[in-house]
Amino acid sequence: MSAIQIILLVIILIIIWRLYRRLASDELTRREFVEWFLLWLAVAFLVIVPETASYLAQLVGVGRGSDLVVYLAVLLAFYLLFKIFVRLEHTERDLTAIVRHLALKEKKDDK
Amino acid sequence: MKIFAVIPAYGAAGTVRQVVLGLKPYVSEVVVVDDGSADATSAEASVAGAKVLKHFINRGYGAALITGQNYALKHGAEVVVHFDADGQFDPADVPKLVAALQPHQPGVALGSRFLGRAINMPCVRKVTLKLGVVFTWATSGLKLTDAHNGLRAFTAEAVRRLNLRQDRMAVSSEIVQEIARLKLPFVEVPVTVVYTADSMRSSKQGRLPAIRIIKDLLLGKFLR
Repeated sequence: MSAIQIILLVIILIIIWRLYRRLASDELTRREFVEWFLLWLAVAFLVIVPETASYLAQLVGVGRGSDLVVYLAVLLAFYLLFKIFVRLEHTERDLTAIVRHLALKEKKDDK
Repeated sequence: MKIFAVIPAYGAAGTVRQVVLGLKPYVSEVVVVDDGSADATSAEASVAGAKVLKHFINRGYGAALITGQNYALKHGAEVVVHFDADGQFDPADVPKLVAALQPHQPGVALGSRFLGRAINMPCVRKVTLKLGVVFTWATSGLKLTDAHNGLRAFTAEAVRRLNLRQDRMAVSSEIVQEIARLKLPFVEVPVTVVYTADSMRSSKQGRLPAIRIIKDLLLGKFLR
């Protein structure tokens, strides 16, 4: 195993450890933990057996293994970004509901 | 008929007093929703005799409009009129819109500056609005002459059926989409819109709002 592989694996182990801590302190739901855990497991697997990426790349018709990894990473990033946008808008609307409630309540108090 | 005028206002201290005074003869009550203005919008509106609702922080044109509508319905409005705070509209157009409605039936009257008059309208604005008409037709199926006009009248029955969620300018598009979805009877009524130096500074102008509106409408689809 090369140095970079060991470094990456150590980092992944730390990430997984912190994931577990978050699950234990209820910052993550069971489901979220499992999703992220599986993702990092897959990354770890790719690190240990990099030829997998090349193999998969050939399977789908992409030039190199690392190209495939980047494509997937970008897709994932966009997907997560979109989810954040939606979440943000949801929060904005909740905020409006509160501000509206206050505005209408004030009116009733004056009367 | 109990007619309520709902005026969303943000930083409109310079014009809101005139607007409220101008509207009073034509409606039963004027409701100004101060959307977190830093200036004297609330005070000016109050002095002119409007009911003032205050948003603690700025939430957007749509949010203010919906707050005002909720108030109007709660206080027995039979007709709800949307009116802008920047002085671009002519209060004398209100009775024309109301006359186009069937009392106690769900119905909508939409003001159109292209059927009516648009005084001093900048070319860019005209192009943007015309594009807006195409966009509206593509997304709602409704062929309007003026897709984003803030002068509208609804019967209470129509307001109750609308499911409006957009906080900002996209609410104008959402209203049209709701009219299409609910198959509400609607008419376009010629109105006059005057562009003055004051009103040009408002956030309605420019092409950037259009991009934001499209993004808001898209996001809105994922939030329902």
